[in-house]
Amino acid sequence: MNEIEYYVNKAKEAPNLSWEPYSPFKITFYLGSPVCLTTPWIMFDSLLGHLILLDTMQEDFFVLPRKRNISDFLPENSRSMPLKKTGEIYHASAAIFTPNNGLCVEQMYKRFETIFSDKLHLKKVRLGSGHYRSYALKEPYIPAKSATFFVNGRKNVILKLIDKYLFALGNDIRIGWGMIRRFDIEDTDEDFSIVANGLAMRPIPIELCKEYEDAAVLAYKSPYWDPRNTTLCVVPGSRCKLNER
Amino acid sequence: MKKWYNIGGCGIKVEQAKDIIRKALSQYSKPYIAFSGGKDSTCLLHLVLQQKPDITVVHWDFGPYKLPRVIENQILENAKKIGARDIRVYTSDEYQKGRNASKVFERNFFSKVIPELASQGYDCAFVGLRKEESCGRENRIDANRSLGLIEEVWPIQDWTWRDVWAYILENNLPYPDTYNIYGPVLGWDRVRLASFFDLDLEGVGTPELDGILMWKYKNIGGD
Repeated sequence: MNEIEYYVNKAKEAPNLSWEPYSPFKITFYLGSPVCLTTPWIMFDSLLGHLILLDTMQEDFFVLPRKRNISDFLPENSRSMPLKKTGEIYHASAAIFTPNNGLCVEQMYKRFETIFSDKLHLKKVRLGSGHYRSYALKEPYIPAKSATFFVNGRKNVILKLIDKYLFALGNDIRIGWGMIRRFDIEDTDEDFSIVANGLAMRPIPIELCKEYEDAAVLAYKSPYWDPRNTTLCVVPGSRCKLNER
Repeated sequence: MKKWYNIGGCGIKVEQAKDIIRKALSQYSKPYIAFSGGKDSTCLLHLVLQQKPDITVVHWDFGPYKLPRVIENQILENAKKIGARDIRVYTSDEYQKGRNASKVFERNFFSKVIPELASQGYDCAFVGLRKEESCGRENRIDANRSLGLIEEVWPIQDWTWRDVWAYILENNLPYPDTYNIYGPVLGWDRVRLASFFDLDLEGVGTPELDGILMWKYKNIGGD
């Protein structure tokens, strides 16, 4: 059995999730520590993709191929993304941080620790390069008290996944960034997940827009780190009008 | 910062730098300036051009993937605004590989560009190195150790970051926009012009920061 087949079987065997119809809502995470970022936005669909895969694969999630996107092979079942989709984009906004005090940077050091090591019999441990290399990490963070996402999806599934698995937001959560204290869900009358009051809430490919103020080459679907998922998109926060179709 | 120019001793350091340049120009027959486009080499360029307006300016281009063209064009434009006439831009085809290209500058500049300049008769390089930047640089300056075949001269070696900004503001010199993006976040004492999204700088953590501050250029190599 090859690797892909193994994960596909795992996804087929996973217990079904009961689906509710799509509904628009707002979810607010109240934070206990600042959020560390690697891009200016945290996208809710990537977050949810991570959680649903974790729920589906369980322990096998941690041995998934790191640089191979297996999502194309997974079956369309109740384990698919519980989000409404238009074209290729999900109805999920980028995070809105409150208060938005701008970006700060913290310098952290990752060093070889002799107390945890079984390599002390070696004559020399190279710190300049290789496995034990020292790093001076710059941790860009936003000292926000809450992060809000606008979503249109299956609320019961999303709520269950967040409740069970999501304890922090952003990068380097293992060292304490972005801890979630609690979260609130609130229904909204309108779907603000893509455009709200004329402002783009997430990267939107320009083909989907009639007018736009600012565009850049951005990823518009997860995985957001993959350059193959990039195209010219309307920048989140800039003015735009969607095509009527 | 402008006050610093008068009361912080910056004026004296400027005179010292001018002396170093004057001596070097009388000692060497064919000098050039190494110009990265950063704040230090901007000051150096302005200082040297006052005494030798036709000096050759040598600039290394880190390629479209590591230095967005908008910034590269701005650097060259700034050099022209300051008064540079003879600007030579060197680069390498290896940068076409993209952001994974590693140690290209180190491999090419010292083994190809400097020998080429030496063969053309250049005998002295003005470099905007400062002792304050790192212990390694301080040791190199103290030991008078040049990296290539051509003798290096460091006119602003004793300047601090305050002196550099004071000189730029006092003389109204143009500098790349990236300083205004990174300065408020990193601090004006720490901000430096380097290549962006460069895996060679991963050890000092700048690619993480580039992903946020230079997000517009993250997925593009061209304009």
